[in-house]
Amino acid sequence: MATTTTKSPAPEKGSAPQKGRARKRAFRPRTLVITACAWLLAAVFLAPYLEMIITALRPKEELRDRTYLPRNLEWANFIDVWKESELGQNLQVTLLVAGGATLLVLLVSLPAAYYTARMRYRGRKLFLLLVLVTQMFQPTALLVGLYREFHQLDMLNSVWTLILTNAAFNLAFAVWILTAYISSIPPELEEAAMVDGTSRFGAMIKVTLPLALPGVVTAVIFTFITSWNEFVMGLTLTTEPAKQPLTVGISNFIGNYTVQWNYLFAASVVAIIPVIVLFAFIERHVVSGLTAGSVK
Amino acid sequence: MKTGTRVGEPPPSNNSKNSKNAQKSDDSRNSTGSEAARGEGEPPPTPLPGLLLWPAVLLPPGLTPKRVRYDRRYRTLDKYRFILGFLAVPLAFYALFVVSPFLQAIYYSFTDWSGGPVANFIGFDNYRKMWDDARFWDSLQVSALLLVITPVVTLVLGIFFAYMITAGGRHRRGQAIAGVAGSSFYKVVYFFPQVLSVSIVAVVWGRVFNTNSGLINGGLDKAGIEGPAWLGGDETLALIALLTVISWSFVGFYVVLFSAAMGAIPKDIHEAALLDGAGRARTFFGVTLPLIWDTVRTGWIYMGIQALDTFAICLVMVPAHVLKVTPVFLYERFRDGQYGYATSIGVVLLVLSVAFSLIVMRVGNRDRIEY
Repeated sequence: MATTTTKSPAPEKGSAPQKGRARKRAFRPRTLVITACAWLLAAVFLAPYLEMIITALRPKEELRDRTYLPRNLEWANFIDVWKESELGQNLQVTLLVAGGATLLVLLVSLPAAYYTARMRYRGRKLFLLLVLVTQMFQPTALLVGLYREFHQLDMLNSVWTLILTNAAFNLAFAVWILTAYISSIPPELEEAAMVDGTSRFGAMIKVTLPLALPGVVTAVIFTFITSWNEFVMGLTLTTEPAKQPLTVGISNFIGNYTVQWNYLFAASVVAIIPVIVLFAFIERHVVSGLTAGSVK
Repeated sequence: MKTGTRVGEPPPSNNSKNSKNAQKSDDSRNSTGSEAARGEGEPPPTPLPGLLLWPAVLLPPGLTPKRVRYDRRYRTLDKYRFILGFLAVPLAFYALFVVSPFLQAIYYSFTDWSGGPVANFIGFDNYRKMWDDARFWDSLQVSALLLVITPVVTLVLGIFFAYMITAGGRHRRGQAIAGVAGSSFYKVVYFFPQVLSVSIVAVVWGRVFNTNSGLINGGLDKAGIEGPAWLGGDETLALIALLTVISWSFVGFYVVLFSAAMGAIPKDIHEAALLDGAGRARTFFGVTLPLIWDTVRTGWIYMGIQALDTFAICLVMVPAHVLKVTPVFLYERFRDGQYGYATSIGVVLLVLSVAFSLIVMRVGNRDRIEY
């Protein structure tokens, strides 16, 4: 963390007086201690990922070893895990659920966000407040109510159940971030397009939407990641192991008598890869988007 | 209102382009869109009987007769039609999958519903049962500890990291105040657990805390210390493990949140403090912290609610006989088919989190500093 105080003076060009002052404080023992702590903390933060990848590559025989690195790497774990368990079906469910929920959220939230951003209607504030407040509801509090609803509809174990609940849970964030994005696009652009002969709808599609694309991408990827990772509803609204999403399938491993860590982590690595890829795309937007509403 | 009144107006047709445009700008200037403001080329619209207006709701604007379209009541109607089309679907979603389960939960907490067709109203019996249930109090004790400790640990770490990232470095890039080297890398590292599924987080840490083959006990072993069974029996150790995992997975969010808040503070305030000879710590406690206090309070409330809602990590990582948080206790009742009882626990949790939020708002209330 505080590495700069020790490192930065050397490569920095220019500003000689600053250089001298910085060098004076560079070798203070306190700085060294802080630097060491910072690196240690960073290591603590990264260690679980390394452990996951290493264990995923451990051969069965070396699972109980206390060596940090296995002697042999077993790449076949990544293939065997799909044969040895129901995780293949779980992955399929997760793909369907995350894809379906994302599509649904996009279809529903885009018009609502557009309208909320462009029009001043009665209850607009209330709508935005509702969106925020429902974000605060704990899923465990909704669990029985949702279970009862889908129980009555006889939709337990259905992919649609998970698509609908995931879409409903992610709607708030999507509407919120899209509203913020569309509001930042000047309405004069649309008005200009309409003066030139486009309809209001055409102006929305051809002018506003392309400009709001970064926001749309953020909302879409964010929804996909959250639905992909969803656990509580998947656990309670499905009972058949083959119909459960991947996250629940992975957690089922733990309940077994002997935990097959190598398979468990191979599956986890596979479950994380899409998230890493997608997150890399929107990292900047999510980070700014998350804070858009909370910091003035 | 300005744009609202013009919804559904057709694109100007060729022959009367000029007069229409003039009318348009008139309309937008005069926010009520009153008839007096209309252009001269337009015949004064004869008022329509209200009944005739209603079918227009179903027609697209292009097919609606002009007479109807320019009626003021049609404008209102058109506005609500838009609201209906654009907002009704998300609202219906909310009503069905968020609000209704919530209201149902409150109702069923007063019944003995156990999955069958009948749910008898039994008043406060579930709550009375909870009051007498030792298991509930045990779980609540754990949850309450998490509620108090987690926000403090996570927020302190988050603020520290954020401060280092935004203002920890000095004299970099020719600026008096800057982040430490590689600050964006750190941000991503800290934030990343946020995008992992809780079940994977729990599974990975379950392995890290494993007594025989875990990373931690492996390290202790190297140092010649016999590692304890973290998740094997001792309640305090399991609580420490739980606390570590929750802080690990949430701290990134707060790093990002607080960095943004600190980034919003004008640079010259920090520079002024620096000129006056304030060191890092002094600058932080005297300048930065008071200026981001509002955000800290919000984060405190969020983290408290998240701590109270700890579920998956505890369920997957910690064996049930060692330690249980209240949501796990709720889930066990749910699994046993005691749905009525389970919902009453959910209601209590909700009341607790609202109470917590109100208390923090009260306690953390300070005069807002404008900058």
